[in-house]
This record gives sequence, C-alpha cells and structure tokens, in this order.
Amino acid sequence: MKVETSRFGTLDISEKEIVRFPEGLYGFEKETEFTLLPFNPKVESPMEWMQSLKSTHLAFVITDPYLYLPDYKLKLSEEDKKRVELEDDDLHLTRAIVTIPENYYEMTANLIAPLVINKEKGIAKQFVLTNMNYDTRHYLLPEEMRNATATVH
Amino acid sequence: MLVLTRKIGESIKINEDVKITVIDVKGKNIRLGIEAPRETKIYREEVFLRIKEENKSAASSQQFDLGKVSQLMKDKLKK
Repeated sequence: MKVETSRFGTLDISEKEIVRFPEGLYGFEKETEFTLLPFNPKVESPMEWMQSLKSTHLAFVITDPYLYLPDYKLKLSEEDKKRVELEDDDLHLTRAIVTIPENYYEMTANLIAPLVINKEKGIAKQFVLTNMNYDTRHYLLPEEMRNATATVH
Repeated sequence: MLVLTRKIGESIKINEDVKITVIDVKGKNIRLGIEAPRETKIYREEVFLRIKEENKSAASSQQFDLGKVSQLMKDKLKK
C-alpha cells in the first residue's frame, strides 16, 4: 500500500511492515497503524522512526531501552502477552518513545510506557509499568555530556 | 459512579479477589490499602496523564538536526 508522509515522502508499505496498535497510543487512541523506518539511512543508529500510516505528519522517534539501561526490567505477564498475541518471548521487541527537545543533548526516553511489538504478527501495545523507578523522561545521555554541551549551545 | 461511604478500617471488595481498605484519614489525605492478585495492575491515575502528555511532546518535538543527532548517538553507542 502507498502511504503519504510529510517526512519521508510516499512510502510503499507491505502488509508485513505494518505495526498495529489495536488500542492506539496514549493520547493518540485513533492511531492504530505504524511502520518502522531507519532513523537516518546514511548513519547506523540505535534509533528508528515509527511513522503513522494514517496521519502524514505523525512520526515518533523510538529506541531500544536496553542499549542505555542494560538492567531495564520489563516483565510481561501472561495477560500482557495475550494482548500482543505473543507466544514466544523471544519474538518481541521492546522500544521506548524518545522526546528530542531543541537542545537535543537533553533528549529523553519514556521508560514507564514502553512499546512492546510482536515481531512475528506485527501486533503492539504501549504498556504502563507499575515500577515506580522509571519515569516518562529518562535522559539518554549522561549528565557530564549534557552539561559539557550546555555552554556550547 | 457508585459512591460508598466507609469508615477507617472498613473495606470494599471488587469481584471476589480485590479488597480496598481505608487505612487512615489525615486532613485531605486518605491512605488506602489494596489487596489484589499479583497480576492485577494498580496505578496512580496521574501516570496516564503524564504518559499522554509525553507522547504528545514526543510527537511534536521534531525540529532537531537529524544528521547531528544520529552522529551523536552513533558515537555514544561505540563507547
């Protein structure tokens, strides 16, 4: 299917490339179909874009939280797994939505509400963790990097 | 909305397996005790509002320099 996007032009998306969020995302309950795209085709990157198939302008930056926090814990209950039709634990991706402010050194990831994507079936959901140690704004860069660049900026 | 009045120490039950007890009342603060099966998810409601706000910020914060950010993250990942 052909999809118009404001950032990437016209995309040709196959059925297998669609990620479906039957309940949408929090605050975007009507956005149920997305596709994942490379962050920057020219540079290898830990980030990806998640482009809406419905709203041309809507795209989120997402990343793998385990790259920044190896001990990040996301325990899926049997009930959680059912919500994304997950039968085999190895077949899911965990992603966090990234917010990039004007001073991009202060970019943050939303660790309390990760996205869980069933790789095989393309079904996904934004879960809310009950672990109070995580927040909606976790800095991706260490403090010394953020401070070092604050004056340059 | 169903409204019930409870005294300190009294409880309400939801289904057979969830019990909410009023532990204490101090001024405007009410302490509640919740007993529920392990898999029951219990949240403070504000967390959902924060997540909605954050999703909206994420969706609208895209005026950054793609080249600079991707180089930065690539360098960071190598470390």
